Amino acid sequence: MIRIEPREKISNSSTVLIPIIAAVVSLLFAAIPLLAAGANPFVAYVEMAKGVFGSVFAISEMLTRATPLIYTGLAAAIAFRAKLWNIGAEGQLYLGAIAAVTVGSGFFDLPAVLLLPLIIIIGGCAGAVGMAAPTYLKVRFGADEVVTTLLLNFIIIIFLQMLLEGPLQDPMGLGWPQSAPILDQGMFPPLIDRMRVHSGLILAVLLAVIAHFMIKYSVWGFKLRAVGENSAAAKHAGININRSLFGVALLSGGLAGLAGVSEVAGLKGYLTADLSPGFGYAGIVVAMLAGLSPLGVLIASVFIASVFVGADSMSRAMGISSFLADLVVSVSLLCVLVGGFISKFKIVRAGTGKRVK
Amino acid sequence: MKTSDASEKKIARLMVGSETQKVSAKRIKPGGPILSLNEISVAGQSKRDSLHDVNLILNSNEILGIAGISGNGQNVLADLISGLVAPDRGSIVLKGVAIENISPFNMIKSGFGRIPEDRHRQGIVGGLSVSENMIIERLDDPQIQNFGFLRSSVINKNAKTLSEKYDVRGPGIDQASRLLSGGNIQKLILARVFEKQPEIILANQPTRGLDMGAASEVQKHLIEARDRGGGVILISEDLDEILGLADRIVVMRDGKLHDAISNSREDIGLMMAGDSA
Repeated sequence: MIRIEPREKISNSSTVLIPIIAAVVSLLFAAIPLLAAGANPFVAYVEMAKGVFGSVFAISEMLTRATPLIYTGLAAAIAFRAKLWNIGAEGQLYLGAIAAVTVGSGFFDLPAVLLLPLIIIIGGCAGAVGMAAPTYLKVRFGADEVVTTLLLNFIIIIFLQMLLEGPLQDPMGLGWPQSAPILDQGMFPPLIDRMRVHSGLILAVLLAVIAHFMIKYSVWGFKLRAVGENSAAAKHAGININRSLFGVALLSGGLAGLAGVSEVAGLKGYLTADLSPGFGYAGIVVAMLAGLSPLGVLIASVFIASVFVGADSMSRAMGISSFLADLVVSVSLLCVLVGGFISKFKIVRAGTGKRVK
Repeated sequence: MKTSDASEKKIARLMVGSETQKVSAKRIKPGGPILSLNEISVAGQSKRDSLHDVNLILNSNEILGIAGISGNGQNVLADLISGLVAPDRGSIVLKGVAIENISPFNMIKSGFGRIPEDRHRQGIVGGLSVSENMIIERLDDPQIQNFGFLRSSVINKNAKTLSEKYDVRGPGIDQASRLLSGGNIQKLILARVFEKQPEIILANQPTRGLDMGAASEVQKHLIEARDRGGGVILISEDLDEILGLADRIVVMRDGKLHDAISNSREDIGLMMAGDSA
């Protein structure tokens, strides 16, 4: 018989080491399908690394890919800290993007110093509303937010498709289901000339740092942690659970909304129904890899973006399917979950106490 | 025991156990009433968590013992005094003023100290550190926070002082409080509750599952609180503890309170079991 027991002391180094080991192990595992495909894994990894860090352009592409993941990763990390399971970042991302193009494509003709902040605020608010609604249903009726937020994603995407063939459709767009472009002064300024990486990244990093300090040092963050760790005790100690949950919901939804703002007003310029290749869901993976730490989200986003951008580049150079990236990300998530389990629990062999008849 | 030898009193004595260790507080003269529950009814999900027309008066300088077999409404009474449950009918009157907006926060503000029955589930947030758990009921205190940010130096100093004063031992004040032993968790809760010198203390099964050292520490603090003018509501299944500590005893059965007709074990045991004696 074996028995699983919680470890008395969780070492601090394990919280840092586990994601790193998981990342390395997942890359090692990826060697198996590479070998099966007849490629030399070392060459493949070198190609991947080149595709991510080989040039300023490569780094710019990787950071462009990491930017929305930071927002959605933060959205998931903050909500999960309070045990509010927001699976709806994908839908909230689109709500933010819809708000951004609605406000930013000519509705207000404002100078850049006003228009960009307005787009950011309205987009964040739209995402926040997208999470506040399921949270209200949870608090008021006990509706499971995993179900409501997940299903809301599909509703929002269908709603978006309707908008893109209706009121939001660009009259100059030759009938394509896409919105009018955001005005030039409403766009995030690029960080490097003729590169795609834009200042949405700066905002994302700033928000991650602020989130870290708020969770660690503010009364608000204390309440969030208390509610997430043990809501019964938090309630007994006089913390208003529902107010905490709503605060977390607004922030989490707002961050996911900003992912949409950043993609549409930083990268694409106009909105289509395929703006996000699942950034909302990938944010959950980022948050889990990051151990729900806002600063960890920065590192995890860079890791996941590197894997995707690197795999794309390797696949072009070597003719191997870039689905390898999905494999690496999945395996690294499994490794983190297993590693997290091992760091918290130990498996002990227990004697089988014989029953006396 | 043969049926012919049995008497209600003998059975009652066996049910409540014989006296084991003697805890006893020196009696002092109680002061005037500080808390009264008037005609309180709570309709819970089941009989176990309902109250029916409960009247209770707590005086200063008094330990009021609430005896009873568990599952007779003690928990809902404790939840009521903790602010977790609002009464359907009736009022809670603190020093002549009815408490409006019953919530845990308002009860803490009004000067209630609460020692919950389940210290792991309600007493501490296991994932937060010892020092954080020591200030969890004081988050709006300007000594603890500045413009919404925690003053970690004050919080750490507070935790060091309280750990020494209340003898909380564990791997460290910055470590998760779930790593503490049951007795030390209870001492952490004692530190949090008694350091504020609350006027009214609710202690729900405060010594259950503790070793004798920690248990006598808990009892010592209850007596001290009474001696400095506080009122203590002691809910306990341990009749010896109630008989040893309480200045006055009421018995809880089926969601109702009855004044104990005497301080004898048999009489209280019979009342607990449901005989009007």
